Amino acid sequence: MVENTRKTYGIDENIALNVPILINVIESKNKFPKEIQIKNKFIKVLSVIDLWHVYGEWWKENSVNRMYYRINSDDRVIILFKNIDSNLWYLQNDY
Amino acid sequence: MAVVAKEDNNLIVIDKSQEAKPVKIGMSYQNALSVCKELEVIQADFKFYSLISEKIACDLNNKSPKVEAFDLGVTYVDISGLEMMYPTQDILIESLLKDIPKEFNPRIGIASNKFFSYVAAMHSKPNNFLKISNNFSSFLHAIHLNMLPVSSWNKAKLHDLDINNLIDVLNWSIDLLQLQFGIKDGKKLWELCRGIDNDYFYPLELKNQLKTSVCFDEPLVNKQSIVLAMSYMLDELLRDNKFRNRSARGLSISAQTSNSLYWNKKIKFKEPLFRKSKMLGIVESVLEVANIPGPLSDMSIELMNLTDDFSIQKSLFSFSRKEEDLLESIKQLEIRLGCKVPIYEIKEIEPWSRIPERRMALMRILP
Repeated sequence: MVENTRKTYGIDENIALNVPILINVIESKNKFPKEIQIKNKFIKVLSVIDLWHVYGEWWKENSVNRMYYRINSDDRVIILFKNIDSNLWYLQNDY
Repeated sequence: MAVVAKEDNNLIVIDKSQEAKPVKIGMSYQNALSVCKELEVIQADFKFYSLISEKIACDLNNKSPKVEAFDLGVTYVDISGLEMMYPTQDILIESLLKDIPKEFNPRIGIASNKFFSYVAAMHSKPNNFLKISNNFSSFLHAIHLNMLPVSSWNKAKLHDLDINNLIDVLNWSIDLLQLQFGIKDGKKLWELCRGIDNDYFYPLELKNQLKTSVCFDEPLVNKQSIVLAMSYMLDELLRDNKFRNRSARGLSISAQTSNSLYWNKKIKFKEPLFRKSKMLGIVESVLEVANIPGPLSDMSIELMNLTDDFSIQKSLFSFSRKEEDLLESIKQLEIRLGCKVPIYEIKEIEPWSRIPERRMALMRILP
């Protein structure tokens, strides 16, 4: 995953789409997401619609080891994942 | 009255009325005037005659699908199979006669082949018909040398042998006829004596075209007025019922100047056209470089090679034109602003990737 270099976007650079955003998530006892904080607001997770594991580029130091959850909140469907190596939660909407 | 035509830079009488008895066909114009001082002379207009002949053939084509315009004044019509549409032969003949102006005193001959139908026509009364079926032998004496479809050299030979009609060679064997008149003409004479004529019927090929012509009160001297006249003529042609749901592949312009010079131009379109604006645009560009020999006194235009195409094949990729226009607009914007414009488009990088942020990216529309 590409880290944020804090560099301002130039006119010549390509802009990545669908970049994961670091969020706060309250987990349940089963380590499933229970509440998600988006824009300083906590949203309750009503149900987990789908989950899958992505494990790629294992030969690299920063391998991609994510557990994805598609959840149903009060008014929308959200896709988020947990980086298993760092235990951090990220928001990623799939286009 | 006499009709004259130009032949070897001389005006020769080619036809005359019954009242002009002293005048003979083939006489020169000056001789004809000298023998008949009150003679009215008309100059032959073969172009006009062939137009009329073609029109009559086209009208007859509406009755029968097989019509052969053999010569000026001679048209063959295949009436086999028409008996199912017309209850009697009289009704069929009446229907055919309606298509021919009565002033021409049309004569119709019916036979099983072309030659004898011609003979029957020559012997029928004006505005009437005559039929030759199995009784062809009774007409052999009436078939004169001039009517025989043989070469002029053989006609002269027949005249020298004092043979004036076909019945005189009825008893000649085919070998003798071929020896005397050649293989082809000898066989032809032998067959005709027995009522056989194997000449092919060449049906008329209807020219798929529309034509209109206009005579101007005052000759047109500039190209704008020519284009305006063409615009009106095209309006007339495109409104014609025959052009409905059709396109034309070409246009022919023919005109005559005030000093009797002819000017012709044929324009072929790259694709079949049915819109007046496009045709007129092409005509204007052609007229800009055309060299017209003088002021035009009359003009005719003809839409040629009419097709049944009435739609335009558009590109499968309809958005490609919009993209070209967009890129052009962005280039102009960059030139105007003097710097690069932050306009991006979504492009797929690794659409198969399981990692979503690697699938697509925003890239500058102009690299």
